[in-house]
Amino acid sequence: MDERMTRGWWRRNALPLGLIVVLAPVTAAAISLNAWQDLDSVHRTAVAVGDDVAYGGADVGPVRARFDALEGIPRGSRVVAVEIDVDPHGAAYPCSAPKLIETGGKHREWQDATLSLDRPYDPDRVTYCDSELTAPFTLSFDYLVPGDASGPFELEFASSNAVPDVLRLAIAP
Amino acid sequence: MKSWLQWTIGAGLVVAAWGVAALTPPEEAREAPFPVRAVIGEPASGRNIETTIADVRRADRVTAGAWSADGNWVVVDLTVEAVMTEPASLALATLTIGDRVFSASERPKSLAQSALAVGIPLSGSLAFELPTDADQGEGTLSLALHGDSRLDSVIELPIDLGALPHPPSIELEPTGWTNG
Amino acid sequence: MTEGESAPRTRAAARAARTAGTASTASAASATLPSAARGARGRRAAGGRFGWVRAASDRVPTTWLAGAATVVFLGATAAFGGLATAAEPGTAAIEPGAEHRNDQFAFTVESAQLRDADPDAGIYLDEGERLLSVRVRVENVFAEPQAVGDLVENIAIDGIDAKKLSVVRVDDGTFVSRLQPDVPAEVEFRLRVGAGDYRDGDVLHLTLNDLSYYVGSFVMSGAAWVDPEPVAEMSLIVHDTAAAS
Repeated sequence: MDERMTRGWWRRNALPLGLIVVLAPVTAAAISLNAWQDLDSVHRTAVAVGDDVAYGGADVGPVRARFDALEGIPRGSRVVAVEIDVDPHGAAYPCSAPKLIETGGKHREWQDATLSLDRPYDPDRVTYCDSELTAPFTLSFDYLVPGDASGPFELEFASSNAVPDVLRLAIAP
Repeated sequence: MKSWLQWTIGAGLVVAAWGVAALTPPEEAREAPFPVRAVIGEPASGRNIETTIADVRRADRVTAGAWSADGNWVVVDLTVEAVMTEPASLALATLTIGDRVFSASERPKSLAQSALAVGIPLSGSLAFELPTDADQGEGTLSLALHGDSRLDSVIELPIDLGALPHPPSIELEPTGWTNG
Repeated sequence: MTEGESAPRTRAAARAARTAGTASTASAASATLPSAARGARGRRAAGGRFGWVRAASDRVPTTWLAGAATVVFLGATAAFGGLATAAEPGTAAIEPGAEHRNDQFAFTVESAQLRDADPDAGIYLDEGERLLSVRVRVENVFAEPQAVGDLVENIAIDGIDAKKLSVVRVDDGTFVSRLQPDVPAEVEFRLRVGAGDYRDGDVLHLTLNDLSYYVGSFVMSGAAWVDPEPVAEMSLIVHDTAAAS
C-alpha cells in the first residue's frame, strides 16, 4: 500500500524528519573530528631553535646545527651536523636517530648518514643513545644534503619511552 | 508499449551492457603502478625516484673490478637519486623480454644493492644475465623503489634487444656519487 | 474439438468440451478397437506417458527408496575401493646425476663432498669444522626470477636444517640470491659441520619436492610457490675430498 506524501504526511512526520536533518550532519561531523584527532599533529611537539623540552623522562635540547664540508662528499652537497644535548636524569634513555626534514620548499626528508661519512675518529663522540649513559651527554648526527637544501629544517626525534609522541626540533644551521 | 519498441529497447540495453563490460578496466587496474616513460639521456621522474639512463648495451663478457663473467649480458649505465624521502633503493630493476622477466644480477656489485640519497645523484651500472637464446625482440627495462610496485611509479624504458650496441666486453661502472 | 460446436469461450468450457470429447470417442472406440485403445485410454487417464511410473512409485514407501539408493551408493563405493583413505602415490627413486624437472626448476644433484677450509673457493671454517657441500646443476624453467630459497625447498636433505644452508655459485663464489629464467648455473649447497659429523661413504638421504604456483585472488595479491610434495628420493654418498688426496 503506498502512502502518498500528502501535506498530512509531512505534518505527521515533521518531528522525526527534523531530527534527521539535525542529527545526520552532527554525527558526520563528530565522526570526522574524532578521526582527525588521531592525526600526528596532536602527537608532535614543536620545539623552537635553542629551546629544550622534557621528553620521555629526559631533558632534550638545546640543539645546535651547522653546515660542514667533509672528505669524500659529492660536489654541490653539504653536511648538516647536529648536536643534541640530552640529560637522561640517571636512567637509561632509548632513542633512534632522528630524521632531518625540510620545513619549507619540497618537504624532503633525509636519514642520518653518520656512519657512511668520513669524519676523523673522535672517541668522545656519541652517535646513538647508549643505554649505559645515565649522565648528560651530547648526541651527534650528520646528514648529507644537496646544495639546494638550505633550511629551515626540523629534526624529528623519537624515543620509545614516549611513543607515539615525537619531537620536532627546529634547527637553523 | 508496442512489442517492436520493447524488443528494440531490450536489444539496445544488451548492446550497452556489452559496451560497459568492454570499457571496464580489468581487476588489476585498481592497483596498477604508474608508468613513467624514459628516454635514454634524459631524466625521468617518479614519485620518489629520478633517474637518467645513459646507455644500454649488450656484451658476451662483463667485468667489475676483479670479477668477470661470460654469458649473454645486458648492461645499463644510469644515474639515480631519491626525490622525497630516504631510505630508498632500486629494489625493482627488471628487464622484461617477451613473457620472461629478468632481474638485475646480484653477482657483481652494482647499483641494484645501493642506498639512494635524496637530491644527490648516484651513478653506476646494472647487469642483467640473459639466456643464450635471448638476442632478439622488444623488451622493457623497469626501475622502481619497491619490488611490489603497485600504486607507485615505475620508470620504463623500451628496449630493442637486437639493436643494442654489442661490444665484446663491458666494464661495469663502479657505483659512486655522480658529482664525486 | 467436438464437431459442430463453436470455439469454447472460457477455460472451464474448454475442459468440459475436452472431457466430453474424450468420453465420446472412448465410448465409441471401446466397442470397435481392442485392448490397445483401452491401454491408451488408461495412459491418458493417469496423466501422460510416464503416469505408470508415478503410480508405481506412489505405491512404494519412501523409506524403501532411500534405502535402495543408499545400497546402490555403497555398492558403487565398494566397487571403487571402499571408504578407506586412498593410498598416496609412492615416491620414485632417482639416481645422482639424473635430471629432475618440475614447474620451477630442472636440476641435477651431482655429488656430495666433505671439504676443508679453502679461501680460494670462499670456504672459511673454524677449528674442528668441515664443509659439507652438495653440488647441484640447476636451471630456472619458470618465466620469472626464482629466489634461491625455493630451490632449497625443492631439495630437502634429511637431518639438515635448510635455514642453515648457504647456496654459492661454483664459478665465481658469489652467494646466490636469485636464479634467472633459462640461465643454467652450477651451485653448491654448503653447510659447516663438525669434523666427526660426516665421514667418507656416509649416505645422505635427499627428498625432491615439487611445489605449486599459487596466485592470490580476491583478498590476496601476489603469487608464491607453496605445498611442497615429495616426488622423488635419492641416496647420495658423501665423498671426503681430504681422503682422496
